[in-house]
Amino acid sequence: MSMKHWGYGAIAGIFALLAVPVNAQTVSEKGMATVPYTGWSLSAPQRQDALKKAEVNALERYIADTNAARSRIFESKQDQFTAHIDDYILGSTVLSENQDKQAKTYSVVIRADINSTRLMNDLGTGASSATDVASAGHNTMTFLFVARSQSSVQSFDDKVYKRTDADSSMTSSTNEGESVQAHNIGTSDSTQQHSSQATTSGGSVTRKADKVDWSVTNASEVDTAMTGIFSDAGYDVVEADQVEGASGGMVNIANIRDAYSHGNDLPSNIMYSTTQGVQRAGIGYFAFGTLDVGMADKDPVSGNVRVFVTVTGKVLNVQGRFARTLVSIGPVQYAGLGPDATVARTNALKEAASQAAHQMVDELSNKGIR
Amino acid sequence: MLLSDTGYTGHVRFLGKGFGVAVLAVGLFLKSTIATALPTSTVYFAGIAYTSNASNVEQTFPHVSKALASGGNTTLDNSVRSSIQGQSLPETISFDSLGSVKDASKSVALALGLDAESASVEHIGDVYKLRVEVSAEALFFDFKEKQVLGGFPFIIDFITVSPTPPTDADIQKAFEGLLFGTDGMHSLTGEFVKTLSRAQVPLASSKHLRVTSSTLDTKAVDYLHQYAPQVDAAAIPQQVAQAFGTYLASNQRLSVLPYSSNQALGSSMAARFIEGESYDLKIPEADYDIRINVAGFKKINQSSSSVATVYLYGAFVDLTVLEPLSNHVYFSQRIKQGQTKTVPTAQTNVDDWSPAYDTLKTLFFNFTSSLSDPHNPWLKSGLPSDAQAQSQFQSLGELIQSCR
Repeated sequence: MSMKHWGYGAIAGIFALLAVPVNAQTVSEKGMATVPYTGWSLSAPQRQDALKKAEVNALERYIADTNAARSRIFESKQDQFTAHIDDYILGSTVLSENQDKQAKTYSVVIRADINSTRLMNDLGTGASSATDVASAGHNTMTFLFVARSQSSVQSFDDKVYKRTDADSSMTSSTNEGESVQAHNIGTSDSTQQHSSQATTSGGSVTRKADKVDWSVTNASEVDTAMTGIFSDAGYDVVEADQVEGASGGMVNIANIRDAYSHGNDLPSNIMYSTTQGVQRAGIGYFAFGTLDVGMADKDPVSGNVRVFVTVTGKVLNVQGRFARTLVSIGPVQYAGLGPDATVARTNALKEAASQAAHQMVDELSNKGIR
Repeated sequence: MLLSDTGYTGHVRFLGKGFGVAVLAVGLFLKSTIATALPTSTVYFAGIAYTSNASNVEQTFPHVSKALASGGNTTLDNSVRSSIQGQSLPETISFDSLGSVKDASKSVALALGLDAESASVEHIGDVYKLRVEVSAEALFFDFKEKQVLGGFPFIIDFITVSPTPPTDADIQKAFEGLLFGTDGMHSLTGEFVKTLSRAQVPLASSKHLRVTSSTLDTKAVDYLHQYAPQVDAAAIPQQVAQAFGTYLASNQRLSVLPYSSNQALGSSMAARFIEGESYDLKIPEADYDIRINVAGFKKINQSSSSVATVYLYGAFVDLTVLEPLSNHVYFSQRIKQGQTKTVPTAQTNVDDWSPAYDTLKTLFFNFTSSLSDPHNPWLKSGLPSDAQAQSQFQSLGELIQSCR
């Protein structure tokens, strides 16, 4: 290498030393490794090898704590990640090292700072660049998630049916006798009566489930969070309003909202019509579901108002004749905190929408769909 | 921080050809300069916060919360702010709004965290000894991530005697003296500023120590039942953990992660600011666990005379420090401390809990001081003399040094 190149290399080195990715999200995770060594003592390359293995272990631990879909993707690409481990580990701190001279093993525990943004991108579950999206072709998707809160709960009294059967019977017998002798005539009679009564009682109690009506609301925070995550993951997201117009009347958002205001599932005719309409609009994937907002309570730790949101959802592939379920999530609960119920509700909806979208993207990515 | 942000980009380019090694050296120098310069970055003062669960504030701080409820919060807040502003501290403390757009990436916040309060009354002869104590900490946290970076705990106390049993109003007054400052008393503000004068923002690369477990063994509980049945045994482990963390942080000049007695919420803590804001702060996983088991206390009549009796109080603690992932144990030994107390013969009523607890705190003080002082005479009496204990103590000292 000439001196000029040396200089440039050094400058690059300085940049590498000083530059901390401004937008990168870092997470800390521990990792450990044990390696055998040969010779009298541990050599520097052997120690380096152990440190690299510990870094890979930290990456594995981090992925294992996320979700099963990401874990499967990571396993399938593990060699690739291992070969470029320095791209994902921004730095590491040795916490413990132990050299067992008898067993000739060296163990090390580190705390690694992981560039989780880059890791998720390379796992295919994070953001894609505009170029990637353009070159990979468009997987168009639309979604319709509704936020619901209970507007009325109709509880029914138990329906009690009671029945009593009473049987009574009476028997009577009369005996009469007469004896005629020479000087007198004798008569005798007797009556015997027997009666019995039997009562059988029984019945049944019928309980009817509460009839819950939901108030379905527009939640812009849900749309924003989900659109962002699906778009970042490389999907060409089309707003549901647009799809409705292009579906030839088969997708009717008002009907879907109305159906969700009375029950947890879409009736089969609405479901069929909707999936066919989405297909007709030229969209490949349809995600839908509900985010049910619970009652506000007080967080015992911080004293903030806390609201739970329960999310359920599915992603359908509507490209064929029949819609096929690709991903099914939930019900999963997420909590949001805030100084008042409105802020807590917004935070809970944002968190639930974001987590649900991430999980759907991960599952889709795991199935090779992007 | 990007190199271009420092204004050094042009300078490096100027060095150019043939000066690669020099440039690298300059780069390394810059890197180290920036690293050491980091502690002088701006830290935002977020306010005064209770660190116990919200539902327990009135229970945990019966007197402090009362003092801060009726306008006391403003008085204390103003006192802290004016005291900090007049000091030259390692960190630049800003009182502007946190997280302005210009400074969005720098979101290190500082809070005066109130951890606990306690009050005890001891009947000694003809007088009553009142002792009030407030445990607090200079708590650094990442406001953006809502994550604890580290804390520098401290404890302030005040002792007074009176011929009559102190009323609750007397106790309240003593706490108010501690909080707002009175002549002859340590003040919360003063100790906070003093703690800040030797505290620096814990760096991400710093190793984290945390008391993760604090328990009382059967003999310690038996002692409490026998000599101090009025003491709430359930509250002692929290006090023990806080006391150990305080002495460790103070004597070794390092930050420790807060202890949480609630296992279910062990990875988070509440920071409920007296102005009304409330956050759930994440506590990062500790790099090294400190596990404290108070093995027991002892009270021995050492000598008696017609004038006084000398009692020897002993405190015994099983202390373990380990790296939890590999279970590599750095230190696992029983440490002990003895301390005498002379009781006049005329004194009929003796509080046996205060001297026992003081002995325990002396043990923590001596142990944590000795970690950087291998010639400390306490080591001969307080630490087992076998080779394993000595070796472990040395390893622990090296570990603590690496955590600074």
